[in-house]
Amino acid sequence: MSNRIKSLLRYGIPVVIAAVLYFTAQIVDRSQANDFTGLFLLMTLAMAWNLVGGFGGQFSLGHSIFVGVGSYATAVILTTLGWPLIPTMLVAAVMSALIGLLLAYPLLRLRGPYLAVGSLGMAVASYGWMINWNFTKASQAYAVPPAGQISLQETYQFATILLLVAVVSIIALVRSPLGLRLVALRDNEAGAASIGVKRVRTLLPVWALSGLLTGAMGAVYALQSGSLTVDATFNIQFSLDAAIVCVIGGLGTLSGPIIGSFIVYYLRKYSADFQNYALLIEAVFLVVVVRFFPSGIVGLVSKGYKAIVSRRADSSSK
Amino acid sequence: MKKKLLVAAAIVAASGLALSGCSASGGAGDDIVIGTSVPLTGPLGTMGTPVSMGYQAAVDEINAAGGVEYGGAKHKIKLIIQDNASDPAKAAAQAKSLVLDSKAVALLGPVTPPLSIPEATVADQLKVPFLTSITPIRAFGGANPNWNYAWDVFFDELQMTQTQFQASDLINTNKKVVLFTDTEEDGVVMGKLWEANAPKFGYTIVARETFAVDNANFSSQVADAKAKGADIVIAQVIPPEAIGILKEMKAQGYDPKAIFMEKGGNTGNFVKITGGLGLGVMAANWFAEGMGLAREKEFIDTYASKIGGINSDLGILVCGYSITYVLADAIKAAGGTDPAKLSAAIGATNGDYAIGHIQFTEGHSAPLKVIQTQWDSNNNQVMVLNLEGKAATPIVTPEAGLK
Amino acid sequence: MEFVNNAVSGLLLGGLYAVAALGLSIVFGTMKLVNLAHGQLLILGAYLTSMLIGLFGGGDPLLVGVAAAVLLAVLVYPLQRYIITPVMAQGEEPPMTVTFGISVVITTLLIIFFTSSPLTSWTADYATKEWEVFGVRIRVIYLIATVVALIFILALMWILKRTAFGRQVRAASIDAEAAGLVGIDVKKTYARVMSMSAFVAAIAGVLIALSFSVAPTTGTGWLLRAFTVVVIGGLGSLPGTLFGGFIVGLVEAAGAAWVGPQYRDVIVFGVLVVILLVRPNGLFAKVAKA
Repeated sequence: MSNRIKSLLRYGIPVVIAAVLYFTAQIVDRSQANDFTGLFLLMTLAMAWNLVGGFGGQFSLGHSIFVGVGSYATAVILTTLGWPLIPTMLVAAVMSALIGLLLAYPLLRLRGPYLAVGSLGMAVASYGWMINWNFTKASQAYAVPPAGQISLQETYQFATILLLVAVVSIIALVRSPLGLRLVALRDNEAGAASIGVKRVRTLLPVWALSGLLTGAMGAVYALQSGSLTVDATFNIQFSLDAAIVCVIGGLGTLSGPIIGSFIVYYLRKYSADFQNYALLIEAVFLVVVVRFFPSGIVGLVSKGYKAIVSRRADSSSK
Repeated sequence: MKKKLLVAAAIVAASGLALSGCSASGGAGDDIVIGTSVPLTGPLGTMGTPVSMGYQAAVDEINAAGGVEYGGAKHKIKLIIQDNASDPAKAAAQAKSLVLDSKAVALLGPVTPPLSIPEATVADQLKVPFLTSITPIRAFGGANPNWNYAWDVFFDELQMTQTQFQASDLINTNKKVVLFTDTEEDGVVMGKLWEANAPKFGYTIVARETFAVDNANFSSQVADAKAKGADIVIAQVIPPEAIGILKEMKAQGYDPKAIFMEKGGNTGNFVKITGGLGLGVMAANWFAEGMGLAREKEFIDTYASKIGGINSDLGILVCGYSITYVLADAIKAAGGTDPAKLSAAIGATNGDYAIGHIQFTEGHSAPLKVIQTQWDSNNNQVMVLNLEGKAATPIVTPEAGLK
Repeated sequence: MEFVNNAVSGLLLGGLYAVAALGLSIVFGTMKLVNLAHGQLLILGAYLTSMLIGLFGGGDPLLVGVAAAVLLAVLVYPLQRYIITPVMAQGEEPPMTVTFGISVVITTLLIIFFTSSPLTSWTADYATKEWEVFGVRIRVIYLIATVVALIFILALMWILKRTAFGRQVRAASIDAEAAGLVGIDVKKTYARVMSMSAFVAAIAGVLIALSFSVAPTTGTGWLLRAFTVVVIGGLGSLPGTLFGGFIVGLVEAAGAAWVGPQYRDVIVFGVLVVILLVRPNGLFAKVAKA
C-alpha cells in the first residue's frame, strides 16, 4: 500500500466516523446524547493524559489543573467579556496549553515518582489557590452563562468534534518523528540522549498538546455542567480517572484509553444503582484487571492475537 | 499499526451503534420514577445516609397506602437511590443519568450546597423538577437567583446566624466572640453574616480564624482565642475540624462559656465521638423534642434509636421525609408528572409537614426556622432556644466536656 | 512568645507527620513502590485499635495499638505477596494503580462497617494534655509522636544495617534479580517490608486518632501530607523523613502565622514544588540509601 493511501486511511477513518457521529446528533435522543458526551469527554481526557503518562512515561497527577483552567476560563470569558462560544472555548484551550508549558518546564527536571508527586503538589496548590480566589467566586458555584440554552445534542456535537481533534492530533503526534523521540526517551533515556534526543525540547510540545486537549475537554465539560465549583473541576479525581482508564485499557497505546474509557464509563453507570457498593465494585474490578492483565485489555488482546497467529503458523507448518 | 488504528476506530463506531439500541428501562408502566443522587460515602456520607432514609421511609409509606392518586388511578413511587461519593461531578452526572436513562420524572436532592447546586443546575438544564433540603437558602439562591425547576427547603442563614447571639443572651458572658470558619461556602457566607449580626446584638467579634478545609493543627488559633479572652466560640466547620478544635481547647485549658459548632457539631453521637469533649456544645437545629411540631414524638419513637438519638441526623431524616411528601402532594395537585405543571405545583406548596410549615418564597426556597440545641450526656441535642427565640431548657455553662 | 509557641508546636507536629510518612518511605526505599494505600493503612490501624479496645473491654490506645499493628502487618502480608508484587515487574504504573484500588476498597469497607462518621475518640488523658516549659506550650501527644518517630527510625536503621533480614532487604533493593540469584526470596522479603511498613503505619494511625480524629475518608489527606514529607526528605531516606516532617510542620506553622491558614495547601505544596526544582531528588537524597 502506498504511503498516501495509508495516511488517507489513518486520518480518513476517524474523520468519517466523527462525521457519522456528528450527524447522528440529529437522531440520537437526549439520553444517548448525554451518555456519549460523558463517554467522549472521558476518552478525550484519557487520551490526552496518555500522551504524557503513557507515551511519555510521565505519571502526571496534575491534569486536573487543565480541566479546571479550561472550564473556568470558559465560564469567566463568557461572563465578563461576553465572547461568542467557539472563540471562548478555543482561547480556554490555548490558556490551558500555556499552563501546560508553564508546569511542564519545571516538572521535566523530575523523574518517576518525583514527577508524580511534584505534579500532585501543583494540583493541590492550585486547588488551594482557587478555593480562596474571590475573582472566581472562591468556593461558591460559578454559573456558565449559556447554560440551558445549549441542548444536550449540541453538547454532544462539541464532544464529538473534540474527540475527533484528539484522535487525529494524537495519531499525528505519535507517528511523527517527535512521537518516536518521545517513546525512545521513555524506553531508554540515556540511549535516546546519545543519539541526540533532547529531553526538554521533546517533552514540552507534548505537554502543551496534552494541556490543550484536556483544557478543551474542560471547556466542553463546563458547557455540560452549567455551573462550576472548584471541587468539581480542580479535583484530582480527573487525573486518577485518566490514569485508571489508561492502565485498564493499555498504557501508551492508541486504542487503550478508548477501550478503557468504554469499560470504566459503563461499569460506573451500571453499578450506580448498587449505592455504596458501587465504589467497591469498581475498585475490586480495577485491582483484578491490573493483577491479571497488567498490560491492560489491549495487551491481552494482542497477546491472544499473537497466540492464535503462532498456532496457525504451527499447524500450517506441520 | 494500521490494525490497531482500525481497532480503535471500530470501537468508537461500536460505542455509537451498540448503545443506540440500549435504551434504558423504567419509564414504562404506571409507577412514578423518582431519582436521587446522595452522598452515602465520602466526607458527606454522615448526612446523605439519613436524608436517603427519610426519602425511603416516606416512599414506603406512600406506597403502602396505595400510591399517589391522579388521573383517577393510584400510582406507586419507584425511588432510585444512587451514591455520588460526595463528588460534585459524579452527583451531576448521576442526576443526568437518572433523568435521561432511568426516566425519573423528578429528583430529590442531596445535602449541602457543593452537591445540591450542581444537581439543581442539571435539573434546570433538563427541565425536571428538583426538590432538595439541607442546603441553606442563601447559598442556594446565591448560585442562581433565577432557578426554574429547582426548589430548596431549609433554613435562612440570616436567621440561623442570629440564634447563636440569642442563645448567648440567655447566659452571662463578656459578649466577646471568636469565629472559626473554614473556606467552604457555608464558612464564608455565615462568617460574614456573624460579623454583620454581632454588633446588632451588642457582641464584639474579637478574632476570626479562617483556615483550609480539613485543617488539623489549631494550636495558634485556639491560643489566639484564649488570649483575647472570648467567652463565646462560634464555629462553622466540618466534623474532623470540630474534634480537632475541641482537643486543642482541652489541651490549652480554654473553656469558654458557650461553644457553637455549626455543621461539625451536627454529627450523630457527637459527645461519644469526641470522647466526651463535645458535651455541652451547641448547634442550630431544625428538629428537636419540645419544638411543638405535630409529629415530633412519632418520629422520635420510630427513628431516634435507629439514628443514634435525638439529633440533627434525625432532623435530616425528617427533612428528607417531608420534602418527599411535598413532592408527592405536588404530583397529586398537578394531576400528573408534566414537568412544568409539577414544578409549579411544588412552588404552590403551602401546608404543614413533619418538619413544619412549608411555603416557598421568591428565590425558589422555603425557609425553615432554626432553634439552638445543646448536647447532653445521653447523646441527644436538647432545645435551649425555641422557635420564638426564647429560652427553653436552661443552657449548661461553661461547656461541660472541657472541664 | 507566640512565635516560639507556633514554631515548637509546628516542629513537634512535624514529628507526627514523620511517623505517618515512615511506612511510605520504607516501602519506596526498598521496593521503589509508591503505595497509594498508605493513608488508608494509617486509618485502618486506628480502626483495628478501636475494635481491639472494644474486644478487650478497654486498654490504653497506644498499647492496644501495638497489637493492632501486628494484626495489620499480618493482614497486608498476603496483599503484597499475591497482589502487588506480581504486578511490580510491569513498571511503575500498574502497582501504583493496584494500591490505589486497594485504598478505595479499604475506605469503602470501613464506611460499610463503621459508617462515615468519625471514629469514637478514646479518652486517653495524654491525648489532650499540655505542658508549659519556660512559658512554651508543648502538646504531650505531639511530643510522644516525635519520640516514637525517633525510636522507629533508629530501630529501622538498625534492622536494615545489622540484621540478616536487613541485608536481604538491602540486597533486594539494590538489584532484585541478583538477590534472587544468590538465594534470597525477594517476594517474601518484599511482603515482609510491607508488613513492617504497615506496623509503623498502624501506630502512626493511633497517634493521629489521639491527636485529631479519623474517619474512613481522612486517609487521603494524610497520604498527601506523608508524600510531601517523604519527597522533601528524599524518597527512601529514613533520617530525611524525620527532617521532612519537621520542615512540613514548620512551614505549615509559619505559613499560618504570616500568610493565613486558609492558604495552607498553597504554601505547603508550593514549598514542595520549589524544593523539588532545586533538589529534584529531595533534600536528603544522598544521606542514606537504605
